[in-house]
Amino acid sequence: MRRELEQVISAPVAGGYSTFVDAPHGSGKGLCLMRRLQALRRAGVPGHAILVLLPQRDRQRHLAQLLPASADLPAAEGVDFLTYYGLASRMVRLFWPAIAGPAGFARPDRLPVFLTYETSQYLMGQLVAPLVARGYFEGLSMRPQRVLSQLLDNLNKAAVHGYPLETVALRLRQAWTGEAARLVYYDQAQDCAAQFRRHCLQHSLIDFSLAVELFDRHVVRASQLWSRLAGRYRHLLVDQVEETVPAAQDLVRRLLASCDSALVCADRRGGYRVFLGIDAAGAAHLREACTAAVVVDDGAPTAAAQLARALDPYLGGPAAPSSGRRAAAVAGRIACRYRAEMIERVGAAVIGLVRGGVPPGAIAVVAPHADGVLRHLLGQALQRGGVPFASARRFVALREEPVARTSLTLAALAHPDWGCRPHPWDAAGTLAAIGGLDRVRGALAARHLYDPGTGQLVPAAALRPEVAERLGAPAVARIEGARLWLAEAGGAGLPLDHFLRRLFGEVLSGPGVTDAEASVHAQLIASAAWFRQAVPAMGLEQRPTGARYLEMVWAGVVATPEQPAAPEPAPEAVLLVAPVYTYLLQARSARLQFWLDVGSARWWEPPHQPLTNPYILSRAWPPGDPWTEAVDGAMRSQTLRRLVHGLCSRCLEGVYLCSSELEEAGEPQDSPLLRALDRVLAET
Amino acid sequence: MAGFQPRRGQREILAYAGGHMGVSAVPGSGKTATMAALAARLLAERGRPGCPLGEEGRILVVTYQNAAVETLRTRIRDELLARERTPAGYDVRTLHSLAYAIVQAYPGQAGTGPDFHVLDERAAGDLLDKAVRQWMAENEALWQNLAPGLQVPDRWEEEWRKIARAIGTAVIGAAKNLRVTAARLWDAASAAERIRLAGPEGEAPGERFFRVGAGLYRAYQEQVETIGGLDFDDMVRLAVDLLEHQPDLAHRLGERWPVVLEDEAQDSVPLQEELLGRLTTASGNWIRVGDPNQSITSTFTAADPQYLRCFLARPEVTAVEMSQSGRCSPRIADLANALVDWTCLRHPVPEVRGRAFRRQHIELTDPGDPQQNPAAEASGVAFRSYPAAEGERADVVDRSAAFARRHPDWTLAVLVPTNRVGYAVAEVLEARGAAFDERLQSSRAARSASDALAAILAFAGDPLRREHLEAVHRDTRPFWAAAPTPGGPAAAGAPEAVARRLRSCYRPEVLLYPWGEEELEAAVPPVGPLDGSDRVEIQQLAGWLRTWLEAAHLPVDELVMAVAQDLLAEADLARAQQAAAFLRGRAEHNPGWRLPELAEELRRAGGTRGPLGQESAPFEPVPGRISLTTMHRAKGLEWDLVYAMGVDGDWFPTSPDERFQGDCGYLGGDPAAMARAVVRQRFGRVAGSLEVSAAAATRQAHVEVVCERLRLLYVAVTRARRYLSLSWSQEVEAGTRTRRVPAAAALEALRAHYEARWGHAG
Repeated sequence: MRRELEQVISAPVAGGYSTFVDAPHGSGKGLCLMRRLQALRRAGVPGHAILVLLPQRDRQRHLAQLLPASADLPAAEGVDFLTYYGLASRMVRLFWPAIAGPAGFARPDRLPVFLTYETSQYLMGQLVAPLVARGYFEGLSMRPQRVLSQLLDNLNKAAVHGYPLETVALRLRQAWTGEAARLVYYDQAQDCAAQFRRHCLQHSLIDFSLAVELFDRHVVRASQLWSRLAGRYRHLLVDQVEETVPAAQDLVRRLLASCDSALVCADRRGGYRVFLGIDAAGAAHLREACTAAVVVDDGAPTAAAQLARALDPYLGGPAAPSSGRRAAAVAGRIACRYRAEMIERVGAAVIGLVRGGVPPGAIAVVAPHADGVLRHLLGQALQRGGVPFASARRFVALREEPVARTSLTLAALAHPDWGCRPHPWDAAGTLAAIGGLDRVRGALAARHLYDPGTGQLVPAAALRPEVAERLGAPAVARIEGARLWLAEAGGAGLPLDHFLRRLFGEVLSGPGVTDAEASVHAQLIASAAWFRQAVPAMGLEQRPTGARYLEMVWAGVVATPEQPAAPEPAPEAVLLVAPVYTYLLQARSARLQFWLDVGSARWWEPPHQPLTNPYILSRAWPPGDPWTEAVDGAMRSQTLRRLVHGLCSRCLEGVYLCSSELEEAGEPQDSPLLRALDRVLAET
Repeated sequence: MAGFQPRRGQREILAYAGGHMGVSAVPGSGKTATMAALAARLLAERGRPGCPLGEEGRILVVTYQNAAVETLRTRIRDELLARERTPAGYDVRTLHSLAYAIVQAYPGQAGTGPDFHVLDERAAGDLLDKAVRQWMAENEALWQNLAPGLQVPDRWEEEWRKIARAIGTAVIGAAKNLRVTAARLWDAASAAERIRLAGPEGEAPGERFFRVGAGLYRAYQEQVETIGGLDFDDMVRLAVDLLEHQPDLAHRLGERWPVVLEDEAQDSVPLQEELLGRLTTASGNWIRVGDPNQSITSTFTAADPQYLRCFLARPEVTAVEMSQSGRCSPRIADLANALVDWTCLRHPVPEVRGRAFRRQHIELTDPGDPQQNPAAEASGVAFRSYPAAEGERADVVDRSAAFARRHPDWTLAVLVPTNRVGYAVAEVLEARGAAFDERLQSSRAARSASDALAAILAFAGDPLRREHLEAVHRDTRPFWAAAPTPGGPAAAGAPEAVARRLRSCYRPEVLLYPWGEEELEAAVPPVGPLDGSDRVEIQQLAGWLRTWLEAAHLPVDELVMAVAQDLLAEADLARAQQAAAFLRGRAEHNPGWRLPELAEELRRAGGTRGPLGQESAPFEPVPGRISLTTMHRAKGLEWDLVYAMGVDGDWFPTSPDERFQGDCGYLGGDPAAMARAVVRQRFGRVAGSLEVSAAAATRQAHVEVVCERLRLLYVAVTRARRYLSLSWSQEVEAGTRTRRVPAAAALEALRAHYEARWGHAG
């Protein structure tokens, strides 16, 4: 931890003293926050009077690791570590009787049901389907999932930026500079949002946007409820405030005015999740609301930091003084024609480094898009080379997890009335899993013990002896046991999540189950539980909830990113393979970074989407300003510069630049990042 | 001009200082070399006053095929290196690749997501099939009423499905090239229908098929949009829309590429013209190079050589001719010129005379030119006729194989009209043991990689089926037999004997996952002891199969790449990467599909122009080896000797009144042609209110075919440097039967000309 931060820990604990810390990545802000928490507790502040506001849930685990609780003083005991949404939903639940009526819920007496991202998507999908059939969004080439997520984005942006939902289409229309015929999509999106909101108010459903709005309008801005909230949280600690949304910043501002002490920590060049509505510039203004500010300088720039600065002018940023060290930041270049070849060479280079003495944990491999091919090919290479690694993903579709597929196939087998007859191939994989068989015998079992016509397992008694012999008596017994279990459990009318819990406990769990598999199963159960709780309240036509859930998962709806069972952060000792954003949001640095696909346009992600735009829908956007190509380019370049600086600030020694001439689809790669790198390196 | 001595015409092009320029270049006139030299000159002068590239501008070169991209890129690089310049500052792209880059950079503005999925022809075709099925289900009365005769024939549904597909293809292609959306076309069709219903007059056949096409377009586009897809036309259309409605984007791209060089401009479609026109609006620097006489895609794309001809005639365009060519001997150049003259002056159909060719002759190079035409006396042309196609194939193969043996330093090719004929010739070549390189729709190399992957997926999809086991051995053995395990011995089994064993394997689980003391023999019937080397090979195969089965739980793209990584060489890895993306897309479109369906999909794709069949590397004829390719794919190539087969009156028709593919007399002509004509008439550049008669539309489509086939013959003739053989058969295969075909009038005319000018052909 940098020395300047020491003073923050011992700041006064009363009198409304608040400190804003502006420091670069890696300066020890997290540790400072935890030691401040410890200091507060040592000063006698009870845990329940402290609110630690987090940008995302998994930060709590990271912070806890920085300062393990000591036996004499469990610093975190009783303390609320909450994200803004976590706090909002808790308060809405708590104050429901007081806010339901004024907020316009049709049945204030009915307890609310909170929707996850998955269930919100599902509900939106159900509501939008008839409109799409009537021609809504005709002419836009997007998968339904993407349409739904953009519609939800609009709801969420209005909420976190604190303006009326009804004005979303107007904002987008005013900024649109393209073909006038496209404006109709914004109106259609507005209709969908309005219908979704009406449905939620009608059925006491609370999605992310409504939770934020209710909290902001009916708790934070309501004097009586606010005083209860402010009366409880007398001490505020804010982690990574640059990654918070404006509504959260409003809350912080109000708490700063009333609490006994506060510490607000900001990462100087952070603020990556613009697509989620965060506002780094707005967060910086909180400095003015604090009584003191501590600014930690950047220190001597590393070679990587100099490379980032040298790239700035070629990415639309300010020119930096020339420095010969920029080239030193480039530890190597891997340039191939094909992407698979590039991945293979990256694997070889990593293995070479590790064999040369570089610890795997000192290496990070980042890519703008860590797709399955990348993860698999690199994973294979690293496994062969004996390099321990962890692979992080932003979102995981549950249908791609074998454990989830097995469980859902068994659920379908247990509930023939749902009409979800498993594909014989899924049945083969499932029977192999529960029978402890190889794939060939699994297929044999499916051929003889599964009836695709009825979607049910066949009693083992009907099995011909020679087939039974080929499968082996133990496997046949296990499958028969599972069949009987499925018949019993399926007939018991259990909710799907209860069924899945029993399935795991009584059929699938055993010594062979890995932690990762157990984690996926836990995620599946949690997801099904949310779904089961939410769907009956949605007021949709009657169909078995389980069948609806299976359809949703098979359709590829992503797993909720904020599920409690989100993947553990990778241990420090292993090499990390991650998408750029995921890497940046994990608090770890590396001696060496491999930047993959530097020629990919994905480094220069477009913020503008057909139905939404996080900048136009931000509070800071001047209404009526057009979204021109120049603005688009400037915003994308700004984001790219931020990513580059973020990566370089997490790189202690050097960067390997890796590219292929052709991207996955066989098209030539050409990105602003690659062009900028070429120019900078040509200069040196 | 380092390494390049320009001729007449070429010098004018190399002196280019800006503005619009159109170049009409005959075959072998050095288009590629001239374009490369011009690009190198401009880049060398970048930053100097008057250079159209300005200080930092790049040259954009747009060409038609992937293979040409590599050729042009290499030539420009070599020219720059020869001038001691850094090989940078230029981008060579196909039209689709250019459009892809623009849309990919601005997907939101284009109305799609950043992960939009490009539909290749096969995927687009599948969606059209779905659209046809949907349309037929919703409009049963309409299509059943169109059936010939009083009774609905059993086969009418199948017949109509084909007709509807052709209508859909024609209407969708025409509409997209005119930037007409599905909704707009549907509105127009609905409005016309309302007027018709209100009035006393019946519906013209063209209008009826136009309405069918509008319905199909709507259904097709709904499918495309729902999966977040874009077909090739969509991609270019969206790029044009972006440039039109985002002028600052067009301006910025114009600044990046202040000079655009367009190759193969004769194959340009309206959308391409519009895209490049908009890109060059600010700079005005656009050079279009092409040969209108080699336009051979107009009947199956929206291309039309008239566009280049019109461009050449525009007042602001500097029109340049590159007529000198050192490629062909005087006899062959004369024959090509005779074809142009006969068509322009004496073709029996007047419309053909004005449309088929631009009357531009191939001129021989001047004395002293580095590329002298082969001597007339060391060249010749033969015209051959055979009673049946089988005989033609056998004789051409025998002659070409003998020639290749006698002249190992010469290049030679067999050019066929269709891929189907090509596959038949390949079989004969293989049977004769001739050394040949195939360049058909899908190459053998691509097919074998595809077959191997498909066999593995099929096996993993259902490992119990014996045919899968046999196929996976047969199709993967070539890839692993040399080193079944890293550093291990080569497979030494007798392939046929092993195949026999596998074919009879009734307990595959024992083969792959034996329990306890189970022996390999327990997997197969006890018909005799297993030979030691066969046993080893089967165990080696089992090792591979276990590896692949254990990866079978992966998403299909990861599975393909996992398998490919184990098995394939570098060149095939790229194909595997394409296959992985293709299957991923197919799986996303069809959430109910699992490995068995996806394996079948890959198998089907391998045999057509699918994800594994596309070649991106340029083809280089090898002396002493026979090149086997279609006349279409021969464009851009040359050989010392060319055998052009199948030059009959069926493939090269003369009169638009003959029977053509797609004709339905009972429907008033060619429904697809009629519907397309209505689209063009309603929305085209010269849209008018005159009704398109069914007969006129059908005749127009036939004239297009006649013209294009004449140009195809011209392409075939001009591939030959020294010797040319033009042959045809009086009887050709048609399914399981044979039928007689007439001689091609053009061939007869050429023979007469040749014998009059050069004496007896032989």
